[in-house]
Amino acid sequence: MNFKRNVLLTAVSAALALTSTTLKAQENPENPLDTLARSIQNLADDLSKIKRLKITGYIQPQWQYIDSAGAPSVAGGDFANGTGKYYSRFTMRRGRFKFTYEYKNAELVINTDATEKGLFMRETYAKITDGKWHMFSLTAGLLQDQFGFEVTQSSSVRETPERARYNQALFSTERDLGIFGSIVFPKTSALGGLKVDLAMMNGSAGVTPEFDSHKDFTGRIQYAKTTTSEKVTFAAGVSYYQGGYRTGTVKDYTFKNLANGDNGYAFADDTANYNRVAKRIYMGADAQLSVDWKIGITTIRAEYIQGEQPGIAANSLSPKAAPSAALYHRNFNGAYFYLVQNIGLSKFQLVAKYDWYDPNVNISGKEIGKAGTNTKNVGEIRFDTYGFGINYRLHPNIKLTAYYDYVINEKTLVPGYTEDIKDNVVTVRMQYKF
Amino acid sequence: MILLAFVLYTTAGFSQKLKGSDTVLPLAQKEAESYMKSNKANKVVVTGGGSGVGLAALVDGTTDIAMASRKIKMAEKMKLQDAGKASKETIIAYDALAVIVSPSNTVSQLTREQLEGIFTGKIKNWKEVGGADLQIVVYSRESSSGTYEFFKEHVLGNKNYSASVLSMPATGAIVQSVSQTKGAIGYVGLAYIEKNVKAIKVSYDKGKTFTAPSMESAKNKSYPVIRPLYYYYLTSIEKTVKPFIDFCLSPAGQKIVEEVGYVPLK
Repeated sequence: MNFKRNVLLTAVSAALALTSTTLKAQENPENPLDTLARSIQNLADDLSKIKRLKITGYIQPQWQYIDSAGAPSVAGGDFANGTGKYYSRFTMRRGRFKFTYEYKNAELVINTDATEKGLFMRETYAKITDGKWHMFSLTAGLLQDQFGFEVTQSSSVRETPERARYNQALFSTERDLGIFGSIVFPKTSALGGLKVDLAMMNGSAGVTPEFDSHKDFTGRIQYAKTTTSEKVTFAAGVSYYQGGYRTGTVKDYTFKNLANGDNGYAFADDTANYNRVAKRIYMGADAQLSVDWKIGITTIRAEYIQGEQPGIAANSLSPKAAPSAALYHRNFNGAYFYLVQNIGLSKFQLVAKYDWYDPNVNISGKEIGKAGTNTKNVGEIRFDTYGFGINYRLHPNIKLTAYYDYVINEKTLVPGYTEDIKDNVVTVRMQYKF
Repeated sequence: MILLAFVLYTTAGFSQKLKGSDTVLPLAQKEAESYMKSNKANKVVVTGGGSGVGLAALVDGTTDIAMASRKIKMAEKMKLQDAGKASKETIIAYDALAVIVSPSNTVSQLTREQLEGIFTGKIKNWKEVGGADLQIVVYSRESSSGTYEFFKEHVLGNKNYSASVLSMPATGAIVQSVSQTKGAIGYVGLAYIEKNVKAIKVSYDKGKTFTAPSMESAKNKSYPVIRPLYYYYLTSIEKTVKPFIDFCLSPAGQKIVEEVGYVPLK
């Protein structure tokens, strides 16, 4: 009661002090409690306006060591080669600052990335949610790709430093320009737990303007369920991507069984290739399972993808601009598996991950790089990565990570890749999230 | 205003904060008042908002104890772990959920299966369960409520509520609406039963025995729709919150449980 009385008296004093000038000018002073109520209402109104804007984000400074100077890597980008060879580096892997303005059933989001590489716009979009059922939403602008689980998961909550190699090749920025509709069925409905996402994007990774009028479609259906005991939660989803690039070259390489019996690319230098749409088709399935039991929460995740990807000779990365070099059509597959084990109720968490990316499933091993097959580049080589790490959640805002990537590539006839290259990486990271 | 902020900050610094379930709120308030009388140096501030709000506050560090009328969810546990926090659960009382109708309604008992039919929309008229030819108007809590989820799991067999169910923001609103609507039915905690509504007997053995909700039937566990009420707190501040929780579990605290209309642990 003393607490309440102190607060009330102080609030009345403060309100009176604030309104004293007004009171002097009035013949009939307002009741102090009315003044207080009005002041509190004004404060509440102002607070309500301020709460519409939310600022969130995270930074990820890190130190890394690779076991051969200047080796290529997907653990945050290649280590520089040449005269400036180095084995280790400090980097600011991500520096995200996200501004969300939300009022009623609409929101505006601006998400930036500020690192030593510069300031980049990661997302800028507007989202409208239907006000009646709260199950339909429409988002337009520069926004996240909607394929699979790992691509759509924030890097701040992922237990490993980077996404699987195939996701980095196919969705290099995990963003694109376009429009995205989502249906989340309410848990009270017969379809509760089901989510359907449909998106139409440029297909240019969101870093360049549209370079052809061909739009890419992404569809995803996900179902999630938690048992009534609140001990087990699982989810499964399927994704489909259909898109392509209008080619700016007459040179085209299609994989087939060649006349000499080898598997390789058949080269076609045909004007008909110009302006033809090179197919980009992905199909994927993913599943996640978490179980709360005596030793702590265990999470298992898996995702598989296969499809057709157009690329250039050097690599199978999704082009970010109109391809002008000769196009190589590859059938690929890839997958990842996560095992995440929280250690009881402690702040420690162990993580193991395996992923592979085979950019060309029609050729392997010493076939790659063979004379006459036009397969002389790293763009054909499969990589398998085994990762092990530990996370320590020091604080609600701070997570410390130590992680080791053990990377194995196919032994081929491609120069530099006749043996497994030394490209294993140690990453030590601190994340501050707010 | 600076002075006001200072007073609020310094006073709050010595407080224990409880936030969460509106069902637990009246009990926690009474417990806090009684506790502060005998522990004048300790302040306990109690606010509602719903079980989900309280557990979210536990994750973001804006409450010391989260009050909940349901168990902590898997997603909430994972959020706590991601924040480097570990929580402990204590059952402080039980709550019997009573199904209420208008006093003018001639129906005075229903089986679980009939309740499931009514709340899922299969049974639409009171005459289908032995009552007058009158359309049934179903009231429920909002989906964020722990009471909503408990009723769905334990009475509806986890089936979904009918789309025509009218969602109410608070238990008091359900009592008021049911009392004023002839064909209405709703569910509330035992503590909320008033004279202007009729609590019906419930059978969980397909109509062999019907039990009325009361303190006695809840205590001897013959009334089937009963649920635990929880406090969740961080293990890191166990020493700070333990005296208040111990008080709630003590004979004096459990006496308050019964006074408020909930069911004591023993």
